Amino acid sequence: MAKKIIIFALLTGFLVTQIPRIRQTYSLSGTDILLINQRRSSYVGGRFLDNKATAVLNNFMDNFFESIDPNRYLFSSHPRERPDKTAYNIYITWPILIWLLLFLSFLF
Amino acid sequence: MAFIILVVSLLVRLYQLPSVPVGFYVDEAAQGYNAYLLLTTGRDEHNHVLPLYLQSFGTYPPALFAYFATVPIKLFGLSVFSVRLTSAVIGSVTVLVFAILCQFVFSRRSAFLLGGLLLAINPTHVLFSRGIHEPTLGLLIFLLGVTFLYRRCWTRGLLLLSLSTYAYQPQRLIVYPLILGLVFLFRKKPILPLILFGLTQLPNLLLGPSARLSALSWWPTPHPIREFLSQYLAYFSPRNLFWLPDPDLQRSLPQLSVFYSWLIIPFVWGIPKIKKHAFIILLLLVSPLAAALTRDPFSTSRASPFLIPLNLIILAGLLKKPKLGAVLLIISTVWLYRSLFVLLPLERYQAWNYGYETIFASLKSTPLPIVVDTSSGPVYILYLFFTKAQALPANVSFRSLVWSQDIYKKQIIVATPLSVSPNQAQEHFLQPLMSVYSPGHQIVLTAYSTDPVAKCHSFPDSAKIEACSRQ
Repeated sequence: MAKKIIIFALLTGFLVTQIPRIRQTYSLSGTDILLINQRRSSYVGGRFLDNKATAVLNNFMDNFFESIDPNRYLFSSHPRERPDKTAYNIYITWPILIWLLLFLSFLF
Repeated sequence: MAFIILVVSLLVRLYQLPSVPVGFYVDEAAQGYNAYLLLTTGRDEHNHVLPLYLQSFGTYPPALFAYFATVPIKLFGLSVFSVRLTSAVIGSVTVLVFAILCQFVFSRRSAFLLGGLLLAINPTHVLFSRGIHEPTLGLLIFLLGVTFLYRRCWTRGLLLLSLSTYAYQPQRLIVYPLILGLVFLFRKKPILPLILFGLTQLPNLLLGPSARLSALSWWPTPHPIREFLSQYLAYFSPRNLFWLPDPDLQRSLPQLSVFYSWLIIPFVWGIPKIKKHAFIILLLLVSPLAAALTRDPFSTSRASPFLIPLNLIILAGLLKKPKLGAVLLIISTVWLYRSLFVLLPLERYQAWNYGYETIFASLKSTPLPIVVDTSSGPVYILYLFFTKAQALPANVSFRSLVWSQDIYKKQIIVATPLSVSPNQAQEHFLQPLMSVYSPGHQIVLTAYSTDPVAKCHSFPDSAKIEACSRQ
C-alpha cells in the first residue's frame, strides 16, 4: 500500500509541476538541434548517443529531476535557486510538499 | 582484487593524461610551478622558504600538494604530465582505500570490488584525479583518517584528519564537527589523540589564512538561516547529484553530474540500509558543511568528502544486485569516455586555459614587448610554468589592455576574441601573427602585431599630431 501511495504521489507531483513544461519536453529548439549535430559528428557512435530521441529523453529527465528537487519545494523563491521563476513556480510547489514528505517518510 | 581495482583506476586516470583535460588551468600551473621552485630553490614564487601555504594569486592554497608533486617533477621534469601524474596516483590510491572501507562497512567481498569500481569510474573523482589537485589529495587523507576512525584507531585517524586540513582548506570546516560527532557517537573521550590533534592544528589556527572563506562566504546576510539551509539542502538534491553538472565549467564534465543518473535507483535502495550505520549518517550530515557556507550554488570540490558517504549509500543499494550493478557500471564507462575524451575538449577548452602553451612557445624568443591580456585570469603563471623561468622577462607584461596607449606602441598583443574582436583588430590596424584554434576549430587566442604608424596616419590631420605623440 505504501509503495502505491508513493508512486501515486510521485506521478501526481511530477505531472502538476510539469504541466507548463511538457511542450518544452517534446519540442527541440534550433540551438538544441545545432548542439546535437555538432556533438554527433565529433566521435564514433555519436549518432547513437546524440540524436533527437536522446535530446527528448534528456528534457524529460530534466523535468523529472526538477520535480524531485527539495530546494524547488522549500526555497523556490530564493534568487539563487530559480532565476527564471514565475508566480506559478513559487506557489504551486507548496501543495506538493506533502508528496515529498510522504516520499521521505517512505525512505526513512 | 586490489590489483584489478588499482589497474582499472590507473587506466582511467592515466589515459591521455597530458591532453585531457585539454589545456592547463592556472591553479594546476601554480601548484606545479611552485613545486618546481620548492624543488630547485626551496622557496615558492613569492620567495617564502618552505611555506605551509602558497601565496599564489592571493588565495593561499595549502602547499602540501606542491610538496607531493616535487617527486614526479624530479623524475620527469616540469611538465603537464608530471603535475597531473601526482593527482592521478593519489586518486587511484583513494579508490583502493575506499574499497577497503567498503569491505569494513559491509563485511562482504563483493563490496570491495563493487565499491572500488564505483569510485574508480565516478565522473567527478576521475576529473579531480586528472586536473583538480588539492581536493584530490585532501580527499585521500580524509578518507584514510575516516577509515582508521571506523576501526576505532583514534590516534592515527585524528592525525590523518588533522593532516587533511593542511591539504585542502575547506576540510577544516568538516573535520572539527566530524570529530565532535564521533566523540558523541562512540561515547568515548580519547584524551591523548585529541590533544595530539589540537597540537597539530595550532599552526592552522594561528597561521592559516581565513581571507578565502570571508571572500567566498554569503555572510553577512539578512537571512542567514535561509541562506544556510538552501545551500545545505542543495547537496542532498538528486537534481544536483545525479543530473546537473557542477555550475563551474572547470570542475565538471559535460552532460555528467556527480554520479551517473541511473545510480539514483541504487541510491534510493541504499538509503533504508544505512539506517543502522550511524557513522555513515554522521559523515553524510557533516560533509557538505564547508560548501554550504559559501556562495556557489553547488561546489563539488568543496564538498568532495561528500563522495564517501554518498558512494557508500549507492553501494548499499548496488549490493542488492551486485552482478547487474557491476555490468551497468562497466557500461557507464561509455558515457564517461564520451564526456571526458570527446565533449570536454570540444566544449570546455576555454575553462581550462587552452592555447597559452602554444602561443608562449612561439613568442618565447621575440625581442618585441609583449602584452598578454589577463581577462582569462592570472595567466602569467602559465608563462612561468611553460618557460620554466625564475621570473617574468622585462619585455613581457600581463595586464588588461589599455586601448588609448597599447595600439600606439610597436609591440605584440596576445588576447582572446572576447578581448579583441576582429572588427577592433581591423579598426586599430592590428596584424594577426598567429592564432590558436580549439579542437572544434574556433579561435581561442590570437597574437597581434601593432602598427602605430598606420594607426596614426588613419586620423585626420588635426587629431594626428595628438595621437602620434602617444607613440
